Amino acid sequence: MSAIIKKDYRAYFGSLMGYVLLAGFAFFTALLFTVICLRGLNADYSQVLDATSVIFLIYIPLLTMRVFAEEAAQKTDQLLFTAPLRIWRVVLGKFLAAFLFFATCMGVTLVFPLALSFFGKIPVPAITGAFLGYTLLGAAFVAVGVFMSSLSGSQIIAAFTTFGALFVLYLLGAIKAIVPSDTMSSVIFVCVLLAFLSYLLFDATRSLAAGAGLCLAGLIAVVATALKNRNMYEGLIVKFLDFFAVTARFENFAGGILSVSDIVYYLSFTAAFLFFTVNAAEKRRWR
Amino acid sequence: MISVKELTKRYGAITAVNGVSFEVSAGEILGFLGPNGAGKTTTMNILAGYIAPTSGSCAIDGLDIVERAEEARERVGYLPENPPLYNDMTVWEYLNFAAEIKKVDKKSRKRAVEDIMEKVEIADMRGRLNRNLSKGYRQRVGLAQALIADPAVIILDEPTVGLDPQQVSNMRGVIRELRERHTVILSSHILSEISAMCDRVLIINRGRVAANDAAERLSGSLSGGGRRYAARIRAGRAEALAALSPLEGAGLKFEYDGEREGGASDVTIIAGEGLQTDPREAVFGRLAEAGLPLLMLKPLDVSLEDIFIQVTARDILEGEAEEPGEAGENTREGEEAD
Repeated sequence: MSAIIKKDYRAYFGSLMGYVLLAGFAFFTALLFTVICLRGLNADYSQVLDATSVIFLIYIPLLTMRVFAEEAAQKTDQLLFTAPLRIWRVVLGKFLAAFLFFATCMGVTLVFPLALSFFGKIPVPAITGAFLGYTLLGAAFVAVGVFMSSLSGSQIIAAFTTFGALFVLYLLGAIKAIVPSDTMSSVIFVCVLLAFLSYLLFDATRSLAAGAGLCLAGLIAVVATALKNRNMYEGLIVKFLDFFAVTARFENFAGGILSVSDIVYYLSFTAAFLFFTVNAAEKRRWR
Repeated sequence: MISVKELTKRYGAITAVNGVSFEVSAGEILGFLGPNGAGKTTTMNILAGYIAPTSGSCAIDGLDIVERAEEARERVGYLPENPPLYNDMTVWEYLNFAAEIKKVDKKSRKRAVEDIMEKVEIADMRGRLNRNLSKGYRQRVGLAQALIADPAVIILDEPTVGLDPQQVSNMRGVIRELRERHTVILSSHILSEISAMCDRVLIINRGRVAANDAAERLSGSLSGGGRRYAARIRAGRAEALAALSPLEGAGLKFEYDGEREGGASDVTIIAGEGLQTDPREAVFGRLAEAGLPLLMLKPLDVSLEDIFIQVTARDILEGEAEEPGEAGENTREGEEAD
């Protein structure tokens, strides 16, 4: 696995892309730093970090688009997937390499709060908390990007779908406010979700009985629980979306609060997308 | 060493490999022969563990390729049709990476990389970026990657495609040397290559095994027992055939084959199935008596080319008789499978 981490991390510096990404990230952070801290006479660097999270939207897709898509396009995945290596090791290695590059970029921007500290008192704990928080957020976004890259053999498509996914995650806070919260729409929502899961099961097992069985059993359970306890379904869609609302936790970071639940949340979000990636890579072999 | 049973791979509605079974014993060189899109690459990809079969099984050294994938893959080196080279790496970096993911231990890795570079003659290219290598060198680096962990089984997909004649000859030399310590499967649609290098030939057509035998035996079984010879005689058509006609009673047939050299007739001599003796002496004697100079006399082997055409043609005829409606679909399947 360390071989893959080394190879992928070096690959960023083997082409212009890595330098452009690093320079771009540093430049835009510097811009925000100048506007918010220097011109605004503000020592709270975490506000800059809060603003940089917008850069992630463009930066992460460009960072992760090549991870699997390039291997597929160049057919170098034939070397990786015929080597005596478990697929999860390949996926984890590739993720860690992309994440390390991201962490390198974040590390470079540490020079800004450091510079600030020479000229006055800065809120160290708040900045450290925020810094770690945004690094975790970046890890979650990188995992989404790695997953998207594993779905397509085209880097362009991988970049666009990653951007799309991150954008939706970004807007989830706003979307949440307009979704209906009554019981009826919640039940319909659960049914749609159920249909989707049943299809996934059918797709994985190629057994119509399994898919239909899950769908039917689920439907009975939903109808039964809905009739018994109507309140259970109230606001369910919002709760569901809350899980994906990665950006909802921004405010905590910006305030310098890094809670255990936030850390666990981001780590499990990252792990979930890496798990999807392993599945996607495994599924490609069986197609 | 390799055992493949009823291997089938479907891509949606398309069947690329259809119930292929064969065995390869240790130290053997097996050639996959078939037209483009016959299912050679798909079969090799399955053996190397790159894709999984829809049904059927294959085992490398008794290890199932799906159930015990990691161990099975440790025993296989694979050179796909396009060598899987990372363009941004140098040859040396690339081989080190390949050695590391193929679990060559750290202590012997340096040695292994040096040795393999010597063996395939790329040592002077070590610092070159893969992207700047010519096709011949790319192929060699790809071969080095397949050999680096010294696997028992080596699978080479069209190893000589795109090489110049000198490189083809070198590549064949390297492959022949592999026979001493490895079991090799190689594919090609070039017949002379297969007959030059392989102990056994597996003809694959439209996803099925059309023939599986030693190259010599394949030619024996298909020539129908009747041996053929080509003769060139300095004489006109009528004169030559007249001189040979007394031999027709002894189970020989003569066919005039045109004039390829000025003033000489080419005649094909067909020995009847019952004839045990070599008819060449009789022919020579007869022509000497008639005073006609014999310019050339040689046996005509049934080449793999003929076998290939016969086998695949037979297959197509049988296929059409069995499933008249699917002919169109099957052509398409071939194209997409490769």
